[in-house]
Amino acid sequence: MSRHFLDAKHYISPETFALEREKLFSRLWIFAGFKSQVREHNQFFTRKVAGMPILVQRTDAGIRAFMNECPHRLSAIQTEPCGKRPLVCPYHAWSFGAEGELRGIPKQELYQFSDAEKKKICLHKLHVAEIGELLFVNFSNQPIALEEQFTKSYLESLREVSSYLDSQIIYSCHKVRYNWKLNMENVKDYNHIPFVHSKSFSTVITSPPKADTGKPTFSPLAMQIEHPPSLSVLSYSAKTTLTQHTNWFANLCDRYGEQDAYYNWFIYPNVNFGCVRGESFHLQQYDPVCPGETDYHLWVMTARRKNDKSDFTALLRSLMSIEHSVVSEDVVVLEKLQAGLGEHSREFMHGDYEGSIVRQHEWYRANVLGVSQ
Amino acid sequence: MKVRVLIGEGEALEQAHKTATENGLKYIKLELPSPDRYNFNLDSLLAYHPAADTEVFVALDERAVNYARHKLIEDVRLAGYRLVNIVSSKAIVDDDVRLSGNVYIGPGCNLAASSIGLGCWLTRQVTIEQGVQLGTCVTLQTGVQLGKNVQIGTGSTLGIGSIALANTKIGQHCEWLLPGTLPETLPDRSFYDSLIPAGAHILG
Repeated sequence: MSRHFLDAKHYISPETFALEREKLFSRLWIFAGFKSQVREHNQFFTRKVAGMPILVQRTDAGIRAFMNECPHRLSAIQTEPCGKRPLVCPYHAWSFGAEGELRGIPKQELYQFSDAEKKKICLHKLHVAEIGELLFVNFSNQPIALEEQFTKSYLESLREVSSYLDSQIIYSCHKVRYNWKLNMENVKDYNHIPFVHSKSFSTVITSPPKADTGKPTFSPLAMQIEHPPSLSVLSYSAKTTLTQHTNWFANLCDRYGEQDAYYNWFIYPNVNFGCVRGESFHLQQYDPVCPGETDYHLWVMTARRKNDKSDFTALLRSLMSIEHSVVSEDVVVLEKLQAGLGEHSREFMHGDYEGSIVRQHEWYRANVLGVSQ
Repeated sequence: MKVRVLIGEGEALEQAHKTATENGLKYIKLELPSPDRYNFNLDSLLAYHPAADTEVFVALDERAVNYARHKLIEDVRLAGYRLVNIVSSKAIVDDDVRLSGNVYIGPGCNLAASSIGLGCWLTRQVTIEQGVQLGTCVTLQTGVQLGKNVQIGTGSTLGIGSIALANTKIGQHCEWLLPGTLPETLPDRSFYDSLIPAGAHILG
């Protein structure tokens, strides 16, 4: 039985990185943001997803996503990270309609476009999926069905839990110097917690995470029966128990689930969505920049406030600091791990408990690298 | 002659008491109990120091993005107490500086004509040029320098040695706890410190 499924070179290779963009991030549904960020007409947010600039905006037609590029000179249509304005390019004021179709070009006589040319001018529209309050985009012209990427029960679980998210969100993004895959593997590897987080996270958990089926999340390698695994098994939820504690804001929120539980939803390929005591949530996304660099996006919010007027500014600031304290402990280890990878690197040696990481590697080998078993 | 009472907790209370004493002013120091470092029990003030006979200074640090100090000041005002400023005798404050009440100006500060909001706290050696406007309960830690016409919104904190160039605009409830020069603008509810040097902010 092999205990190695993915060579270290795939964490440092530009060729692999290009393959990931083509076969993973351009094919799968990728988390983009929250519905609460585009509640109002013409409200938008912009960001990069796997290096590609996108724009998500609520238009007359609903929530729509586009590449954030004007078809004229490829200038950004929306230049701020978030805001509220129509789809008008600030460079030459070309304007676009609800589905990205061309609405108007000032000083048309300068361009001399034919009618046929004008009909073809539009924003590059992307597919959007709303899973509860979570927004996903897909760069493919013919995206895979959501049910191929996630099981029906998992989708239902995401819809349910996301309905508890408050609309007041604190957000940060910082660069880390390691490959995005390392972070996704790290969050699925519960055995690092007592060593890396001995003074933080480890002090409040009382047992290893269990999958929501009640079985151990990390089944032994020997139990792998499907080779390669289906895409949908790479995303799953887990739960562990925490020491008993009630935070002061608990009664000000509509709490999710059990009070002394820590929930995780691992959303393949690059999201870790968690809930602490049903009171607060964090969503981490590891967005690839280059083989050795990742944008670490982090959104934190409480459970839905019972009263919209409750001001949680100081609380959110505090929750964000706690998150960063834990995250920074991982970053130290992972940056050193990445820095040590090279031609000399030997094979990984996965233990039985790392079944979920192995499944991820198996699927990746078959579907990204195109390597048969 | 009214009795002057210093209320609050921790280092800020000690600092304010020391400055007041150095100024030759007599204050009664009253450390307030709190179950959570945010909600303070005013019973000892209310029981022994009637509002009609008492002037109060609230000394509390920037905890909870300055909401805690703001809340305590509001509680004291609602109870009918008059608030006073504490300005160190070692500070230079131009005549046309406007102090809105419960302002602390520590030793070595140098303030040109400017508007300083209710409950602001200038720790020490803070330099403020003309035309600066500080909202309510702004905290400026040691060595902060503000250029001309800088505006800082309610409840914001600038950390030790930070510099805001002329016309910088800082939103409400921001924290800049990094050394060096601030950006030209900081949106409301933005937070920067050594743990989050790239910053975090509340959306919307």
